[in-house]
Amino acid sequence: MRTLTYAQAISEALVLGMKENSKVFITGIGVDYPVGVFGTTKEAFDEFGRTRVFDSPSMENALTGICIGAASMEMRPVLVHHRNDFMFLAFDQMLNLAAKWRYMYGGNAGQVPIVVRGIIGRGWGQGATHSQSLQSPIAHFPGIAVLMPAMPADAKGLILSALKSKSPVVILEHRSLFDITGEVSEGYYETPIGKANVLRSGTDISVVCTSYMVIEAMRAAEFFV
Amino acid sequence: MSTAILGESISLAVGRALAYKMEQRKNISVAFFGDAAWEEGVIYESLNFAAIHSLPVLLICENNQYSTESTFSSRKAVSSEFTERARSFGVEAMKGDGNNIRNVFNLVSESVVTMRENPKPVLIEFDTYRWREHVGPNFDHDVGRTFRSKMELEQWQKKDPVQILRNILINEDFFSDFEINEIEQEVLEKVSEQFLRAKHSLKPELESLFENAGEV
Repeated sequence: MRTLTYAQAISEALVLGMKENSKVFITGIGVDYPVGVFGTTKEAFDEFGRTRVFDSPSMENALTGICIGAASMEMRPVLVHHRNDFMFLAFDQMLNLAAKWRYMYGGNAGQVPIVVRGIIGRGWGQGATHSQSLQSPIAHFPGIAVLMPAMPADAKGLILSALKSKSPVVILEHRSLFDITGEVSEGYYETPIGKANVLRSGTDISVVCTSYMVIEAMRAAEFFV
Repeated sequence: MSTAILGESISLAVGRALAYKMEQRKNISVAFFGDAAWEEGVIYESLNFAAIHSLPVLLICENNQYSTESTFSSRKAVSSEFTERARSFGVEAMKGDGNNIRNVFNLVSESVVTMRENPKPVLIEFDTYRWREHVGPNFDHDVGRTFRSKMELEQWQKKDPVQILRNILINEDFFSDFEINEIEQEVLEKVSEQFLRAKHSLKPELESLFENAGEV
């Protein structure tokens, strides 16, 4: 099995997802930049061009509403935020509309399967408003899923699952994960949403964590081996 | 699609229009909103995006001058025109008389025809008036609210679009008075029927409160 970086795995997932379903499109600030979003959207842009991978103005609120409107016509938008902190500007759309509609409209109507990717920016120079991890407030609302893949294989499989979800999905990607490497199966596969990945079994202690902390936890586990 | 949060539905309509364009369909997306939507940021973001991408979205503003009971004096500079705001984003805009059905019909149908040939966003602002309170069956002046006077209401009631249409239909021999009364009766009966049906329906089971909540 080959080894990919987390960024490469996400990139591969987006391309596969877009090949598999012609209604998938990617938007957000900078998704068409040469080094767009840690390199995760360049491959898709090169393959599918500006009709399906397009830059957006700085308009987090309405852009989310636009993705919701498109999703109501069975399009499958992927909205990318360079920092998950920018989602605050879109919370009304994400939480009052996307998360609630299935509930409000009795389940059959109101399916709003938008995928929103946000980077957790914690790192040098990011500051208080560019380095938050918003999984708790977002996941607090019923009707929206929050995914925090740590391994490249999961990053790929979860994006592909998210693109088949009936509900809106937020994917938080920690910036320190983009260069980590791991084995990733070739081709199309989906990782089930809502199932934990057991990385190491044992009998003495359980450590449960998300995103970059998984890497820290695995390093810590080495001390006890 | 709708939401109780003011203005957000405009972005939904733009999203719909984006899907139509991406799927190469000839459909038009339509957003209906009141004058207060111009106070929310979402409308500007939406206009900008629609103009950039030449999206077939028809934006219909029902300008009834009030936002609940707030007047324009606290909401808009006197010299600021909504149609000018739309134009500043590159969106074609026009005004019409919201109480005149022929004017409404003509402006909208002409716009739709041109939009189908040449996809682009269009804004039409229609002047009108709200008779009753923002929520509820009363007249504002009857329940102690002071910004909307009985006199102002009566001026607008003279321009009742339903009455105006009724007169057109009778004067131009489309329908007789009798036929119109029959239709109104029929409608009233249907409404009463459904009202009673709702009144006598059982309340939902408590368990149903959680149906479709939280599933992903």
